[in-house]
Amino acid sequence: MANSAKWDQRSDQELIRHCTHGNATDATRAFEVLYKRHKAYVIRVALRFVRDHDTALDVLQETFSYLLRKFPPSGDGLTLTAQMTTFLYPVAKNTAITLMRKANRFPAAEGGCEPDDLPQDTAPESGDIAGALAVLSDAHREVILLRFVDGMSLQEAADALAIPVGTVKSRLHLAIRQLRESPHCKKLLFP
Amino acid sequence: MKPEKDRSDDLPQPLIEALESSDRPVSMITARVDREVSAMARRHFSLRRRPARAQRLAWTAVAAAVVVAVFAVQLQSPDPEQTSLYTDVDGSGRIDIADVLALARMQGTEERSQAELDAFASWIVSLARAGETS
Amino acid sequence: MRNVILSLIVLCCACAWQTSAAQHDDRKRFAAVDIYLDSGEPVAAWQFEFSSRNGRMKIVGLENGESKAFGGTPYYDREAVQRGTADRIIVADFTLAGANELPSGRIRIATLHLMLTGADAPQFDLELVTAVTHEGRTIDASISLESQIVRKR
Repeated sequence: MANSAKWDQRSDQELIRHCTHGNATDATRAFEVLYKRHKAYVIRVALRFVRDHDTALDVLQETFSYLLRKFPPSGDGLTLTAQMTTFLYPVAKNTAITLMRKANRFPAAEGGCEPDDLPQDTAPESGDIAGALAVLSDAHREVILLRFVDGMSLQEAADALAIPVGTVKSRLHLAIRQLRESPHCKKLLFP
Repeated sequence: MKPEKDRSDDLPQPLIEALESSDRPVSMITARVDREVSAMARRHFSLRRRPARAQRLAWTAVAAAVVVAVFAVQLQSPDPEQTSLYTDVDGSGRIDIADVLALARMQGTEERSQAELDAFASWIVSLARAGETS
Repeated sequence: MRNVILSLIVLCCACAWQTSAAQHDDRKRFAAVDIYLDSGEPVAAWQFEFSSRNGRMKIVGLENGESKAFGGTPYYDREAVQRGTADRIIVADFTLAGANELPSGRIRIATLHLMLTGADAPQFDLELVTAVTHEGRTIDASISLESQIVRKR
């Protein structure tokens, strides 16, 4: 499956244009290429918020269902002004949180659920990166992952999180300082 | 899409590598979702406004011509191996990845879908297939 | 009777030695083998076959190479590798990228992750099946390997 979309040389912007303006066949094919190109990313994001694979697959389907509804006849179409991942990230994240709530595995807190409320995946272990990340709040961990794993710029991370760039900068700064001071990271850097 | 190099806040490279490996994509079987998303997309886009009557007639004529052409070709080459997708497309005398490339580069009515090309390439590297032919 | 007991002791010693030797031979090591293609012309498709001459090798994983034109993992028999039964492998890839984006010279096209058993030094067979230009013309290229890491378990 990883090979399926790679030979299609069209950019995400071109594919989005085909989905918006193309005939049924072109639009379907363009959408399938977009799906194959980004599904691994959506699963990865989903697994940051949900713990079981079945729910991650539901997140994948719901995320692309949401994207599909943006295109005519139900939607007006989409103009991609940033990276596709910047668009997909909040959709996948919110879908994951909603599905967790629906499954009663993640009861909603009063006033809504914030990333900080999310459950910890694993118990921290000395000298591993999971342990190092566990010292961070979820909001800080999220910004670290967007920046250093997803490779987003500050502006892209701000767009994905719908927060100002300044907030991303300060979260990142604090998160990095915490990580550097964490004994887990010291063990990773100087085993 | 990599972070720009002029960032003031940075992490040591070993930490970035550890982060990347901790968030590595997991291997998941997505066949069910693949099928459902594909069907969903087909249903969604098929609801778009249908083309004008003249255009529909033209497409019907083209489709009829293609059906007749395919039927004629099948009559001329009754050997199923000859009509199979998995053939020596480039005429090199053997079937290998160059045939997939040749097939992918074919234009016009012979344009192949991604799934067909993937299936052909996967068939080429299949050890069971190689065992049969070697 | 004494002879029978002596024979039994000798037999037990032989069995113990054989078991110890077998355990020694069953040591598992992991190796990463980089596969390099050397071509004077830009390559649009390639295929190679890799196997072990003396057995005792299983392919446990595969990584894509360094060329951006060939993004993603190459084609290989995933099922056989996942089953852990692949003692040889056929790997291939193609790209429809433009001629000016295609790689040439010496490039790493894949990295194979192997599990080796036994004390013998591994002997590999590597054969370049084909390498072609974007027009489909066969290239006179060569293929080589470099063993990267070997860890003992």
